[in-house]
Amino acid sequence: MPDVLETMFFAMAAESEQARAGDDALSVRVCFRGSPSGCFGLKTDRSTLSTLGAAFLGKLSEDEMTPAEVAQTACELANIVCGSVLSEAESDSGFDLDEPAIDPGAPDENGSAYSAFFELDTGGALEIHFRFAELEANPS
Amino acid sequence: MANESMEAGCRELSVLIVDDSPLMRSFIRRILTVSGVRTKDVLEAGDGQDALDLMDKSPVDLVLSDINMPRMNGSEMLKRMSATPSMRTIPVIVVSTDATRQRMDTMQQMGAQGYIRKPFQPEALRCEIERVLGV
Repeated sequence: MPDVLETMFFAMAAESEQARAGDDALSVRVCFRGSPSGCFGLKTDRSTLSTLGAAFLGKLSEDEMTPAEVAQTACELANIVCGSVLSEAESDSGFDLDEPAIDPGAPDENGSAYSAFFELDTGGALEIHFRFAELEANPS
Repeated sequence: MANESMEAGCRELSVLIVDDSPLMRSFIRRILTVSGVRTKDVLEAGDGQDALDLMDKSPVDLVLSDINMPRMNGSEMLKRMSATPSMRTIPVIVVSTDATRQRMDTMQQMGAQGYIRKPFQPEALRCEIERVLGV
């Protein structure tokens, strides 16, 4: 996770048990099919997403970020983090990722098999959660 | 130095970026510029079908493509390109979060000439383009 933020979003993250996203946070769900299958949840504050998105897109200020770009940043970040973790875990077998979606019901720390919490040097917190389950075949 | 070799040794390229995320397309477009890749045109497509339609109308020198996309994914796009004489020789570099050996082998067998794993440094994109184009 920290290498994703550092490499493409130019932010440093440190794991912290106390870090939690705030009330205005956006949650993203990305379901994956492979061995294992399940869903990934990423939750972070909108202000943090504005900062990360501005860095990702090379904007001069987070004030230039539109609400749509903030949501797209959340989805792209979730996509890269989820894929990166699964690539490490499933180094020999492939997996398929569903399209990331903003979803308040995305996996959170309740009932997840794995959760991790991070503080960012740009301010704010970021949570990631993995829930494993058999999924129906992807219609696509 | 690497920038200089790219600029001196490579013609201006028409590059097609294929990704369903407009944010990622913007990121790759910016990285192409800052890493010194000389481009004539940078085209964008949101999925494999849009990419094939674009390539049918405008010749491109290089395709940078995601795998997981709605409507037509990167694997199917590669398959169709291989079956189309005018597209068969266009080099494709896959840009994906999926860096499992199985996926990389499969995409290579389907015709991809390069592979970049997200997250990636700007230099990694330039180096892979140079390798694939033999610059």
